[in-house]
Amino acid sequence: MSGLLTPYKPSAAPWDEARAASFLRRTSFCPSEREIRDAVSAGFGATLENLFAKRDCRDHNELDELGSPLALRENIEALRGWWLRRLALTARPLSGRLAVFWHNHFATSHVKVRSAPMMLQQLRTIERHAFGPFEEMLIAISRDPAMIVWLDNDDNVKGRPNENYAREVFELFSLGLGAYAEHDIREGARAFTGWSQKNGRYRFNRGEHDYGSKEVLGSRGDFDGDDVVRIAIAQPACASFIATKLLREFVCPAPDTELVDAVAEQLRSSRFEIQTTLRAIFGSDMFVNAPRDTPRIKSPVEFVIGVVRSLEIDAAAQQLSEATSQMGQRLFEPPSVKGWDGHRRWLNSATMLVRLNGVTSAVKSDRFQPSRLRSEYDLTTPDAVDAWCQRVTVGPDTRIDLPPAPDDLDERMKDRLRFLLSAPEYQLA
Amino acid sequence: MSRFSFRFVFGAIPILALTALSNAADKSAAEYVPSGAVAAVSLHDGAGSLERLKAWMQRSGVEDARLIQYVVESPQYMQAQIFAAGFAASAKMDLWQAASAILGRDVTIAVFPGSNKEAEAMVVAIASDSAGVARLLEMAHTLTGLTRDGAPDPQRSFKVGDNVVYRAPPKALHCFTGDALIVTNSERLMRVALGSETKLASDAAYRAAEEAAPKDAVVVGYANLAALREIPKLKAALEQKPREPLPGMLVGGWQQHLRSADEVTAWLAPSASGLKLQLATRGGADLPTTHAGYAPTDAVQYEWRPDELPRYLSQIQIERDWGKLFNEREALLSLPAVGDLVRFATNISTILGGMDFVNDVLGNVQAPLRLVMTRCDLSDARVTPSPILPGFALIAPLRPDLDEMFERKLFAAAQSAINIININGGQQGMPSFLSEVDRYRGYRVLFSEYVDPPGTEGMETAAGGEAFVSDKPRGSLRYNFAPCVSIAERQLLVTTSPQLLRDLIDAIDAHKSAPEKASRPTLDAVDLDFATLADLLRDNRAELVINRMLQEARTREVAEREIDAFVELLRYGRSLRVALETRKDGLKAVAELDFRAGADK
Repeated sequence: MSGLLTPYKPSAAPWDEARAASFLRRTSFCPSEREIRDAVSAGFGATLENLFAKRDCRDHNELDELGSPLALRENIEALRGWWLRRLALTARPLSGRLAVFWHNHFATSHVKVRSAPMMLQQLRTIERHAFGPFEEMLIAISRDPAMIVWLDNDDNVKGRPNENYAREVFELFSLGLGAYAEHDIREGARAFTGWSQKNGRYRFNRGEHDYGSKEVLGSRGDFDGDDVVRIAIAQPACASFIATKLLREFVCPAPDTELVDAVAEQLRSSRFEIQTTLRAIFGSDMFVNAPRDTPRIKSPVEFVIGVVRSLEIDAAAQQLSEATSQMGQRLFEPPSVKGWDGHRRWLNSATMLVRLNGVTSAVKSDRFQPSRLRSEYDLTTPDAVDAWCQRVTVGPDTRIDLPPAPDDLDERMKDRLRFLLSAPEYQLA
Repeated sequence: MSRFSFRFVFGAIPILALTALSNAADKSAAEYVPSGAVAAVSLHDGAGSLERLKAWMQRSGVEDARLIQYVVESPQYMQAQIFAAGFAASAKMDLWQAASAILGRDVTIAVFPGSNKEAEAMVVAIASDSAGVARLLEMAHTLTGLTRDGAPDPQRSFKVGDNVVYRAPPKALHCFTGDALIVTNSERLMRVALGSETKLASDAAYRAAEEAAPKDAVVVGYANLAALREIPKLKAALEQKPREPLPGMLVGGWQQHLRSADEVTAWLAPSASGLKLQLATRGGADLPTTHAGYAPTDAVQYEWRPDELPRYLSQIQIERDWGKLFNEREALLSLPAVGDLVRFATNISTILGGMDFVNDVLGNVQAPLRLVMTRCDLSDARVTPSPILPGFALIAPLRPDLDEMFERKLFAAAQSAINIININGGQQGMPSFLSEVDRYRGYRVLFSEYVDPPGTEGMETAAGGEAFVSDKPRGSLRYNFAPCVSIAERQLLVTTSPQLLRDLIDAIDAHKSAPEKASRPTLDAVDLDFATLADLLRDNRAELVINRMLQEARTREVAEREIDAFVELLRYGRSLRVALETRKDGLKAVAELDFRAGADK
């Protein structure tokens, strides 16, 4: 294992409240007080393993069952709210983060697909493969009906290949610009001919598939789509491409080459097992003990879900959907095949105002219950309230000058949270 | 299900006789309240009503209903109940006795125009158990420090004659004199109440309200509309022309009446199996000639009743002369609303193809327009829609002089409208309607149905292949909507389901007579059948639970409990009818709520 991914040892730097809060903020959404306390008492090893737990909580699972009926209503707005509610309730927040991450990676929009059931099916595929080998995920996505509609693979037939899907497999899904040639796209498109869908089911149309020999990225053979995916993933550029994207999501917006190489090596050695790679990143001293100086700007989903999870607000699906959409991230409707640009693009004068207004509404809402939180976490003094507010927002280790606040503890909590959630530090992950 | 009888025997007290009595023990609450209230409400025999309510709750089982239990078991309710029960117990009473003692024989609430734009209010309750109320007050005074060592705190009390008036924060004053508990926010009103000035019981408006009410009325009230119209917000609301065409046409006539009426009287009384509430305006001018559309002269009376329809749910009846209203639009509506109305008429004319909406449709229909809703029977449906909508039917009587050509044009227009819906749906990838002209019981009908109902195999699989609880595939909202048209016995029928169209034709055909001219005031009405509403909600239980889970952030268990409790409570109701009569001398609104003896399961 590379020196950059040397495992973190709690004996050298204690696993305390500050480290636990910072770790959870970066691996999941903003944690609640309960999650921080549980992480500290469970210890680092158990906390790391919990990120990859297989089972979710009852509330989440109950909600999960509603996906299918909602999709059949063809109400994408309701489905968006449902997804966000699941993110707010899940006991597996890393799984939720990864689903949004891969949704952005394989950006597919309902605006063109126009089928909520197909969009749900793609989300299910992403969730099923989010931690698994990347090859399996890319093969599954290549057969995904929503993706087939989105990138016009229905029109990709023998003799008249449509290059849209093959181009994105190389450019956006596996290799990145510059690691392939136009010839590879043309030949790759031939391999995907006949991969179509009917009524939301993948269908291989033999009559329209080109069974001839193709030359893709230096290899020659009677390739089909699965072969092209395997050939692309075997390219050296693929590991670096995926490593960079994972690091941008979880570590810093511009990872240095050394770190990318270390994670790429980890990916290759684990046969592109995402779970193994993430475990190595999250378990490293670099991640736990010495976070990078250049943090990322939280996406609207991270921001909104973070607020409701950390403040333990039971927000309605529609509210979550409206808030994230107004901040510039409409799930199931990324702006283009490239997905959302993210980071600095998330903030401008308009979206920042929406974030500030959202914070005020959340704290003033009846669904935020300061008295219950004070009682549950024994916050009986102004100092305890201040410390709690800081712990569940920017973290106890962040230096921030707090302005004067009311003496009434509930009002003080609201006032402090309004300030901290609006602070630049909270916009960063 | 046997009907539960609400036959109360109320001893209404003749006001005129009461005013002549000088004995304080027999005085009514209105004889304490000062004259000149802008609005007043009296609750007669509150203690008796409470007893009857308690008896009904026990007998009907409603106190065991889940929604009631849900409220009763909530921590907030339990805290309040423990406090109130403790308080009552210290006065040697239980909670019901305490409430009965305070509500007593008679309660009057009155509002007065106060100084500094703040309304003044007074509540007077004639206790049925003076000693009990005195004990309760004594407890309250001791607990709140209004009395010290048994004597009134001079800082927080003053005397009017022999009566002690207590001042409790922030502005409330109260006094218990004889058997009357007087509470007000105005020292002036309190002094008048305890003095010998003229009282509310002598006011002509109050007396008229009492006289207009039936003898067994539980609640009687009145409001001085002329005085209320001086409130700037109310004045603006009444004088402003509606900004939306539809609300303007629906309520514009009532608004016009309220602009000139002198007062409104109201009463609530038990009926044979429920409650009846009536509100009526008095005085005021007749509708101006520019508002003739609100009082149609050609309204007809139907022979058949909508509750004869299978699975009847609700009916809304509106009586307007739509053609006249369209012509009077500039006088009735604000400028933007007029623009919206004209645009709407133009668009509908386009959709209808060969028919002009204003001349051919509005000009040929008579009043009343009826919207009937029934629950759909989906036992033979290939796909269970989700949600399951009720079937809607619009029924309009047509002028008697219309010829065959009108019917032909109507069917052509209906087909044109369905084609436009199909073009629009096709652009959005939705399935299209297949329309068919046929005959049913000799009447020409246009049916439509989806060629390929949504919710087919592919969609089911695409959604993840998770099975529904139903044994049939589920379709989306669109499936439960298939426009149909017919004319039967001079009645234009437009429905959203072929089944409802057939049911309507069956009902009309059974009477076999065209509607006759109505000889009654203009009547707008809403009727609702609670049992069918409960069935409809039960049909859509899964949808409602999903909505509560997503929108109210409930767990499945809580969402299901809430929906089930609400549906169960509905089953204690039988029907609701709200009718609004527009007469030359004013408006009369009557609401009748009928209950069942117990919930149908």
